[in-house]
Amino acid sequence: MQHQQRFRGNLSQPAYLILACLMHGPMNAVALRDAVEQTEDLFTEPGTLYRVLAKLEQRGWIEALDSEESLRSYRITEIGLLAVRQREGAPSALCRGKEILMRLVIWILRLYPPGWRERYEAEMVALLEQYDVTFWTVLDLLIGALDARLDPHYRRVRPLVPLRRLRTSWWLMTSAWIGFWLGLAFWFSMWDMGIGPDASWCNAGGECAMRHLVGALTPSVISNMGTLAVFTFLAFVAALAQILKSREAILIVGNKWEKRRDLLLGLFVRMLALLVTGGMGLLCIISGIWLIAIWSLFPRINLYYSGTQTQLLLGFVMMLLATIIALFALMRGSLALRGVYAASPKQEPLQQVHEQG
Amino acid sequence: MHKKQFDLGRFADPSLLILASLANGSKHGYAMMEDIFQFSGTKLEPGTLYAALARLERRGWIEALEAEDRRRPYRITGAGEVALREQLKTLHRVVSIGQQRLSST
Repeated sequence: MQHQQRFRGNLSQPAYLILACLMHGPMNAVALRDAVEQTEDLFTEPGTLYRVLAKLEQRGWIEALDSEESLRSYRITEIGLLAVRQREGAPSALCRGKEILMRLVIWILRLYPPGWRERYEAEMVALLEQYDVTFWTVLDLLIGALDARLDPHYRRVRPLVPLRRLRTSWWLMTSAWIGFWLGLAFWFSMWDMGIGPDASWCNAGGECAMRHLVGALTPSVISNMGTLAVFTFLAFVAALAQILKSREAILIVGNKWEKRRDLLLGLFVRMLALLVTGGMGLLCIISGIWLIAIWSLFPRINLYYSGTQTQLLLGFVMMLLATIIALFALMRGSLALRGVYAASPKQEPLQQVHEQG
Repeated sequence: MHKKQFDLGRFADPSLLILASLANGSKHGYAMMEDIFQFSGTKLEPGTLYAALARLERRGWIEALEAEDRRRPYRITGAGEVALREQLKTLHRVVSIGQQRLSST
């Protein structure tokens, strides 16, 4: 109202009261409602409280704590604290530049695992407010986040819904396919320049012998327009799949026929993914061999077509990266699928599949 | 250094500095960093500091005290003092041998 709202959106009265209550310590929804209603009679509708909590959680101002009980507790985050102080008009102890830096830092701190943050985040922020934050500090924080993530101490058994994992694996994989296709495209321009195995511009000698040796292996595959066509088609399918498959893996819902159909679909998708990833890997290998073989010739090629070297290298690196990502996504997806199959439809099916970290 | 010493890995140095810093009383994070910079000239970054603190705490060599105004002081425990003494003994040996050898050539 009187104060300038620097945060996106207004901090409404119910939200403010919830945050203020949480400043005293984490609470669950029931306790929150009681606490708030002592001040103002706001949450007459039971749904309102949960709606506000959901919105606060989405903004990152509060965070749900893991708990064994059926009712989840919430705690206020650093950003939430900032929002409250903003609203209360507390004069910021930090200057403008520092505030922006602190926002960046707080955002980085969100990369740390939740267990770590419950314990250390508050004191870390207090320290960083005093400290002279440099680029190295930020880098160090990032490394610390990686270190904390890898630490088995902070791994917990999370009720991870494998569906989400499956979805992200699918996205990763199809993105990798598209990336691979782009990398391959860099290579195809090579043939326009005529440095395929039958190029007549090299003089006889050791180099060309080597090239012909390798020529048997590689470019017959790469130069084959069919390969390009296949991969173009796959890239198109992948793009389409990304759009359509937003409700994929509905899996295991009541009806037996549906279950069978979805399992089969899952199997088919996995096989397709395996095939494509295998192909990508193969292409990477032979591209790599080809690249090594032709390496010594690059100075000469660059006379005719400058920048070829960079282009081929770039293409190769992209293909390699895409293959690695696709492999990773494949493994991740397989694990998630296994989790889904393991969950029997009789019990609590997908919601609570325990997974290690 | 001893083998069993620290599968603290790359946090062996910061841990030593932290223990030395806490040896004369409890401190919170920022005070620790200032102190360490003063007596050793090492600028310890917050990320590394807290990673080392977490490891030390898990071993029971330091202990976290009540936080006041978001800043939480730490103090060294008995086990931590023992560990620090051992480390310093080893280091002292290294220092004296090293100086001896340098002065004798």
